[in-house]
Amino acid sequence: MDLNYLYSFVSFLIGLLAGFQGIYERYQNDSVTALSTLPGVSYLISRGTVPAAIFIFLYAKGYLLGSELFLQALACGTGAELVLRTRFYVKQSQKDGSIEELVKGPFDLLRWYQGLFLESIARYLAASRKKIVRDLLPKNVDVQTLLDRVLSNLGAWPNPQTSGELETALNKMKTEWQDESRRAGTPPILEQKYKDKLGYLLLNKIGASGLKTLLSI
Amino acid sequence: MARPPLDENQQVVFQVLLKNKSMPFLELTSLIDFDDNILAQILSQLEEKELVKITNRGNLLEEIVTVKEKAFAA
Repeated sequence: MDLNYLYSFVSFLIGLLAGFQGIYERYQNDSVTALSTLPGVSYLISRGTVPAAIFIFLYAKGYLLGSELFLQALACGTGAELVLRTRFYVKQSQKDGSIEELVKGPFDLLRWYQGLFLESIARYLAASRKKIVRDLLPKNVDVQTLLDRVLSNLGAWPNPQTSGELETALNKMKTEWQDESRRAGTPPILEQKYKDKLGYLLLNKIGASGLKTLLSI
Repeated sequence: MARPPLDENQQVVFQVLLKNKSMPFLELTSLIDFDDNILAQILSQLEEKELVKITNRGNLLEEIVTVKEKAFAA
């Protein structure tokens, strides 16, 4: 096997970094979590594959020089990115008194492609928060008991401002729950709805460990 | 593309969504002090304006609201 093909990894890395930039711009501090999702990994791999495939194609066809393959792999990576980020001026139009320039090019396609994955990552992250909440909420305990338990544990919470805000929100939730259950009875879906709401409220205000603490007996 | 104009309530919901990118519907209801039905109505309006996408619609426990990519670009 020709080990020079391994230089394609350099091109792959450049595509991968360019892909990571898109994820970082959107998710900032959560970008590592975003990368741990299936669409995050798939996006990075697909972005790295394009320049790597170009390098492999050019090398296999003999279009690359036998020396300085590292630099040529770098050029393949950056060149592919350059082309993918290109937009061409098409025309100028006037709209609402301002002048708009119409530009089109491979960048639009790249942005669309990136958008598909970024939306998908967001949905994955939302679904993972749902899973965290469902996993942390005790099973076989009704919502009334959970609300009472959290309200009674709240006094021990170290930050009085947070506990005050939570107390207000929880009492409101308790009233809503009682009103709704009076009207509709207590079907399992209503129980789960308020359990989820309680979980999300605590997760957003005090995080997963705080949620666990306040739900403990 | 300019973002379509939003009224005050739509703006409140959209800002929370922008911060989180995607949220289960019930998570949104736990953070925003609107009645669930009003919130659902606002989300439908945001969906009509093509700012959000709602998946598993009608399944209260599984419904997820995601901000569309072009809403970030606008």
